[in-house]
Amino acid sequence: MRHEVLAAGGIDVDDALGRLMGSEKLLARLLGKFLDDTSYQRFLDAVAADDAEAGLEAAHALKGVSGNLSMVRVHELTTRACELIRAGDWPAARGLADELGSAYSSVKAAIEACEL
Amino acid sequence: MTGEKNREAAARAAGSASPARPVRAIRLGVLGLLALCAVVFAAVTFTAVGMSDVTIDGVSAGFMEQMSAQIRLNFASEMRLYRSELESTRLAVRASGATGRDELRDGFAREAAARGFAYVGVIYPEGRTSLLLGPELALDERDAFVDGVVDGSRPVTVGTSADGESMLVFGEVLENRRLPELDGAVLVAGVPLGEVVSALSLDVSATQVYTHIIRPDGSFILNSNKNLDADSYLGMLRDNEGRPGVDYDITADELAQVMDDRGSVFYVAVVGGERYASYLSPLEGTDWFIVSVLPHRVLHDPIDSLAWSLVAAAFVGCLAILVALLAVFVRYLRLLRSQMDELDRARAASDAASLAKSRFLSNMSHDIRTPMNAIVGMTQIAREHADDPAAVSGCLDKIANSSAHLLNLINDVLDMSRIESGRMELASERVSLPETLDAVEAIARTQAEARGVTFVVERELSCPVVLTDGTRLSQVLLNLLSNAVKFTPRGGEVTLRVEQGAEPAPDGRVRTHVWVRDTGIGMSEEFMRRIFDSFEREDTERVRKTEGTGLGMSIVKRIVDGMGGSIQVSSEKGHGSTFHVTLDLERCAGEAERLAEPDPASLAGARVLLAEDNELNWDVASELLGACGLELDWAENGRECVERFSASEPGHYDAILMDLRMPEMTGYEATRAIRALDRPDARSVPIVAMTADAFEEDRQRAREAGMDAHVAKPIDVAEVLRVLARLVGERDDGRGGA
Repeated sequence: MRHEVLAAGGIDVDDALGRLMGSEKLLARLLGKFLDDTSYQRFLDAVAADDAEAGLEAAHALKGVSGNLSMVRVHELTTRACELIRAGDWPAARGLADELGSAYSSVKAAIEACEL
Repeated sequence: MTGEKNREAAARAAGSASPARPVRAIRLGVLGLLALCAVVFAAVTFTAVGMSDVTIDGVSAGFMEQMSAQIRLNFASEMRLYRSELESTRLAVRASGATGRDELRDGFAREAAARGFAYVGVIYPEGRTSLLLGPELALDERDAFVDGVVDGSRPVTVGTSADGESMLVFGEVLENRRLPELDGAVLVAGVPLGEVVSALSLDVSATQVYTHIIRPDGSFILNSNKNLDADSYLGMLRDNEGRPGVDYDITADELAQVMDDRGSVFYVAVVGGERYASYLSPLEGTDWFIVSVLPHRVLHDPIDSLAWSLVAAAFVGCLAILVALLAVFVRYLRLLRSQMDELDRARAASDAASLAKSRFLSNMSHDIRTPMNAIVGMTQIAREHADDPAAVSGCLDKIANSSAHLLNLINDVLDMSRIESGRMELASERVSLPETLDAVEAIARTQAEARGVTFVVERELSCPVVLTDGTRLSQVLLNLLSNAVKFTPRGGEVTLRVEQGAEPAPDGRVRTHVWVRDTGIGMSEEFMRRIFDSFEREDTERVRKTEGTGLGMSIVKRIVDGMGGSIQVSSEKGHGSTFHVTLDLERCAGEAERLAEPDPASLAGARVLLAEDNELNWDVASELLGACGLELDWAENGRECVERFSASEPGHYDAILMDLRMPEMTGYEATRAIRALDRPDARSVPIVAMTADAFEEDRQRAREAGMDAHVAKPIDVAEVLRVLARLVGERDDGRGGA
């Protein structure tokens, strides 16, 4: 596993390994699963459908997953999105979609580059 | 009340009068002692000085007698010397072989002059005198002298020249067979009296003593006192008798009588205010007398100066002793005063204590009597309505309330008395602050919810495990919290904030701040000053309606003081109060920290139901917790969680980890459903919320739904294990106890 590639993609590998008791194998497996996770897609759908409720659900789920895997940027953006939606500012949260998209893409690219 | 005032006044009066009286007495005593010292000293000094005249007279008598004897001895040896000189003159002339008359005369004159004689003559047996050298002298009692020389009884006399010069004249009998005119003649030779005087050191300057030589009739042969213009000593005495300013303690007649008896006498004269000591005694070998006169001041002055220097020394010594004595007294007085002050303070303190005690008793009797009256009264009413279950039940409720209040009061009083009597011993045990706070929070939350008050807890702990008295710490927090809740109206808020700052504390302790803030009724500034006193309750209607003993805050204050901490209160009437406790808690060593925590290893084999909709999160949790020996079952949402739990054997699951946001059924709903199930472990199975949100609002909702604790997401295995270990451990303890 190439730490530098994952780090460049926005994953704090040391933090993640610290949480996973140092198991690279587990981290690799979880990162592989992350590509199958539908949270991000559901958030995009919610934005498209202008559904705040669904958006909160999806952002919250993505927040949990990205937190567990120490995807720093994705975690930050989803946390902010959750806060905004809770505060009733759905349009502002929706505005984060592009930024979240680029953060998600770089994480995804890094994972795929490592062929996990 | 009047009695109390009187007593206070009496105590004040006694306190101000009693220490002053002995101090004044001692001060007077010291002054008296000083005066006595001065008087005794003065008396001794003056007596000593006065006695010195008499003493000096006594000393003078002995001194003069000795001196007179010495002078007489010296005089006698001087006489012998001159006589032997005269004899050797005679022998030298004879040895020269001169035979001629003129030859002999020249020889006598030459030899005598060489031996210091200033006058030489020959007295022939027929009575003619031939002068060989010096001036013509008129010899005293010339014939008697010549006879005395011939028979050896009188070797000396006095001659006076025409111009008044006096000489001592000695005689020597000549033998000459060749010149018959000379045979039996007397060779006489004289020495000037001045030379004799200086040889005998009789001059005044040397000895300060006048020495006169007088004839038996009192006339002077030698008068050493140049100021004394008289021919006769006795005559002078006689002339002076009765003259003012002159006083001899012997009369001239008495003295003449002594001289007739050839005796010696000591007498004292006062002339012109000067004292003189005199001593008269006969001069051996002559019929003359020697009179020595010693001016009193010669002895008196040194003795006096000695006496005065003694007095001065005594004075200085006396002064030194007095100063030392004074210093001792001053010290003693100071000591006495400080002791009295201390006594005074102690008395004031004991007065205050007895005042407080009597107030305590009067308060106590009122506070105890009120609920007791209710109990007695309600019991009476219940008895009268024994056939009316509703009335009896109402009475019993009131009795229960009053009893509970009474019990609280008694507990507080006993606690307080234990603290007051100094029997409060603070333990030093390992205390996990998070656990303590959890326990306190649970109790306070129940109270707050019952009164419709929002309860918020904020903690920032950098050193969660400390050495302190956990029970007392809880008591402080609970008292502060229940007080805050009690005086906060429905819809208000009570906040407990515990923070361990990085500020330095002594001995490497950790400074721990506790704030209890409420939005309650607040209190007046005047009451804030008394709030920590026993039995103090603000006298407002709102407070009167609230149950309380007025002891809670003083217990808090005592405990905080005992822990070496401090407590401050700030409040605004109508806007709430804030209590701020600062404690420097002892850190617990690293190993101790683990001991204080429940051992996560005890969780090995524990079965945990995990409700989590996200497969990835489930994977993380199951991998991590599974690796720690836990058996995890997965429920994909709230509904499945409830179903799996209801389907399990009671006691199968040791705990449930519950995500809050799940499709179909949220964590809150699932928890409520589980708690509502009709099975033995429905209410006891620990349910732990897992939330990515740190909002207090979420935590509160979780608690309201019946969850026991919460852990943060992303998952922190150590934290999850710790919380689970605690909850599972408590539950097991509870079971063991039951």
